[in-house]
Amino acid sequence: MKNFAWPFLMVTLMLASVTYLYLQSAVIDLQVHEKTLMAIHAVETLDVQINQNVLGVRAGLQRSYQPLNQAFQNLYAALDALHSYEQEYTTNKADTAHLVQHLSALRQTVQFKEDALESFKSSSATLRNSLMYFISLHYRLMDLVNTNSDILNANALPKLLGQIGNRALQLLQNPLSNADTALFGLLQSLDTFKWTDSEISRGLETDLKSLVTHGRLIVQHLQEADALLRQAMTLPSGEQILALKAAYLAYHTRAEQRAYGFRQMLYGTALLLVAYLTYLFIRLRNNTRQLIIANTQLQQAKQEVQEYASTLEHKVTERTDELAQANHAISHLNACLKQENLRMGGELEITRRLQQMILPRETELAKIGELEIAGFMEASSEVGGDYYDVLQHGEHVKFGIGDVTGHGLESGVLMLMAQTAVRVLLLSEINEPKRFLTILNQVLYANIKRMGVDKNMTLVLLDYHAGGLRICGQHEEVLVVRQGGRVERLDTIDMGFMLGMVTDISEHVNPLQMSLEPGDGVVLYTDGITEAFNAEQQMYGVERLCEVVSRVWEQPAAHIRDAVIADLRRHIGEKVVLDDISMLIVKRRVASA
Amino acid sequence: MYFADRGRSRSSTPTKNLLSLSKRAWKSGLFALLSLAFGLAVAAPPPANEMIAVEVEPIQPLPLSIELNSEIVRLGEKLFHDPRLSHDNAISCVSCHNLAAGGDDNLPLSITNTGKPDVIHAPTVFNSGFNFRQTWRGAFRTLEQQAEDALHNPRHINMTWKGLLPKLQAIPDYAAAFQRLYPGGLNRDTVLNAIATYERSLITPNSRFDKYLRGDTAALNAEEQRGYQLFREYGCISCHHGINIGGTLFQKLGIFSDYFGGREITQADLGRFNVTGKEEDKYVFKVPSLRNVAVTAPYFHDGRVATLEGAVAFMGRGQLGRTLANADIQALVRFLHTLTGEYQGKSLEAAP
Repeated sequence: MKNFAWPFLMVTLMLASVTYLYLQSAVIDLQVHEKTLMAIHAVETLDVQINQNVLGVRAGLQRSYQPLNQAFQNLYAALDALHSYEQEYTTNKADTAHLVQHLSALRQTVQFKEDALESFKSSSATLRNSLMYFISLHYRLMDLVNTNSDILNANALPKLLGQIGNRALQLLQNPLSNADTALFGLLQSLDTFKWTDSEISRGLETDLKSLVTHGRLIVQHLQEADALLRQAMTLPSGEQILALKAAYLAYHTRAEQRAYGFRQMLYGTALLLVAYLTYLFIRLRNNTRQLIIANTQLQQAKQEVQEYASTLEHKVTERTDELAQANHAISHLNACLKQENLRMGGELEITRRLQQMILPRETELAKIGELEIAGFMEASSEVGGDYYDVLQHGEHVKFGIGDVTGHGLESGVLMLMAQTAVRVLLLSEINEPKRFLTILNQVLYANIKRMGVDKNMTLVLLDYHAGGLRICGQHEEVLVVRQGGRVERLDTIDMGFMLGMVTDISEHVNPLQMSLEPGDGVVLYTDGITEAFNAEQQMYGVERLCEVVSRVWEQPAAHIRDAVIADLRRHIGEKVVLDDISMLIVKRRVASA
Repeated sequence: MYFADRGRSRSSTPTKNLLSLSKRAWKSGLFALLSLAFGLAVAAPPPANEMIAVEVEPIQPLPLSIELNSEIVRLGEKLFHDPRLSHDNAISCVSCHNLAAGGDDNLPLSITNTGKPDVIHAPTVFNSGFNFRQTWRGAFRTLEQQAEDALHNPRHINMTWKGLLPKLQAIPDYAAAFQRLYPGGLNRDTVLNAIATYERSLITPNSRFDKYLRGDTAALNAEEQRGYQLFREYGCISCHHGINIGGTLFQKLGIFSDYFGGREITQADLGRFNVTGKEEDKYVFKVPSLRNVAVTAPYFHDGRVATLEGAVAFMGRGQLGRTLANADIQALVRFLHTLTGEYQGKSLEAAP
């Protein structure tokens, strides 16, 4: 569920943004906009229509007020419509208030106009009434006067009537002229006219009085109606409509710009949403694919398990048999191993005894007066093939140290052979070291071949005679220690070759001749010492050996040996000794001793 | 509202006006060309499917029928006749506007629901949809406003919306009908619309004078035609014109002589002054329609003139400033009798 929370939140947020932006970008209802424009247009047209109607009425071309009333009714309806659309303009409060102001100003003007025109209508109706009656009266009177010769010739009435008719016409033709004053004067004259009996007898009096009354009314109402007309026509309704239109268009433009901004953001957000959804879709598809793969694997595993389960009994039986067989084999092997162990234990014991048995005795060593000798050998748990020996032959002392590769009985036997051969060669007076070593190699080579084992041997032989020392054979370094403890390390690589590997090693044997003064000596060792590891996996090393030997060199040979062994033991600590440890210390006695 | 039903029957958008104008221009030749030359405004509103013989005639005949939602008209009719609209189930619209009595009650002043006489004479409901304002003082622009006033007026129906709407809602027929006919169901606006729609349907076409206007010159006899001649000559037509022969303007009652004859002036006598508060609007009233005038006696805002002859005689004195000859009065009265139209195919009659 946690994995879904983030995308869900993102999508919800984006959807909410899209909705908000959509609402903001759609604030202009196109229908309302169109209706508003149409209503403004209707207001404009109706205002013009009202003006046209009023002028038509005034000119006498329009005999009914009904179109004028209708135009006003429609105008109010259009204004009501505009007012109702105001509720829809929600974008900007200030703009809306501005529009409302324009609209209410216009409505007020329209009301003023209507009030003025209502009065105009009344006044104009009275004027029209008087005019109609005036004309019909005037016509009747003129007719009467003209057809009665006594009136026509006797007094000024016909002339006065004619003047009144002319002035009335002049006034109607040009209301702004001073014909009104003239007409008024003529009517005054008619009002104060001295009637003759014949006129009274013809009943003209009443008609003449009506003519005067209506003539005066015409003058009065013509002025009044025109004043009202001017008042209505000069009201700024047209300007206000244009201002309203301009204000609305400005408002609309601003709203449109704002909506455009929101639309841009809407597109952006929508694109983001689509991109994000696509990303989610792709991720989902990948997940689905992986799920399908996992599911297939699961199905396979399940099938295997089912198959396995169905064959389990058989398999258990089979396995039980196998186990029984294996158990039998192991028991057999165990028995063999026990036997082998016994055998091997015996072999090792024999080898160890062989090794110890063949070492030179203390008494032997003590007989060599010129040299002080101390030897040490400790076999490892498996018994290696270490060998050292000291043989006196006449005035010569032959001593050497070696190491047969591998462990066990074969290595021990090989060492024994080497010891025997050395003694044989010594007794056979083979003094030349090169020849000595070459024959020794041939003996060992032949025997190793016969034994059919893959073993060989390193061996260094030293020959002391009257303060001279000859060294030959390949083994570890030979340490020559001078009186005072200075150690010379001699590399034996070029002094011989591994024994038992090839038939002839004569070419490789290069003996070294050196002197050995009193107090000088030689330290021989096997790799069991230098390659002994401590708990930190560090080797004991030649350097440390040299150091210890150097430090205690002035002491007797046995002491030197003990010091080295003690130091070595400290180094090894609790660790198991893996290889045989052998050492031989030969020191030329100081003459006085 | 502008494009809604208020304008549907009689008027239309400006565009439509121009269209129908050009249509007529083909048909009525010279007069239409003249009127075009003098300005589009000269055009009268179009009675759509009828021919008018004389374009500049100040009086137009009533349409033979009006397009209205007949179901709403029926619903309005029911409300108009239903005394349950009043708080004590005593009176309905029809109490004062009796269709069988010319659309009014033929009383000088109607009896109000308190038993006392009303303050002003009830005008006829017939053709009231053609008046530019409603009531004598012209207080209302629409029939809806007038109907609402009548519903609330303590002298008339004397009902509140709070009382009326639940009452009507409780009547299953009304609830169902309003639900069916109006998206908003039963409410203030729809009740008023139903009543006003019914009132708009109350027209009285086919008067003899309308037939005359449509070209049937034999519809009026010589005496009646002379009456119409006098009607124009004496200037009556300058106020009584248009489709309703009146109902297009306000005018002072008694320009030349006092109508009230020294009697005590009531508030109702002040007329339009009661609406505008302007001094010059005192004794100013809406010019009433003269249609069916012969069957809607008594006359004027106070109903104090019982006969048509009396009314014509006062008009001569008051509005023209002279005493009309008896023969002229008779001719005018004969003419006025030709203005009686038909409702549901039958000529209107005064109350027996």
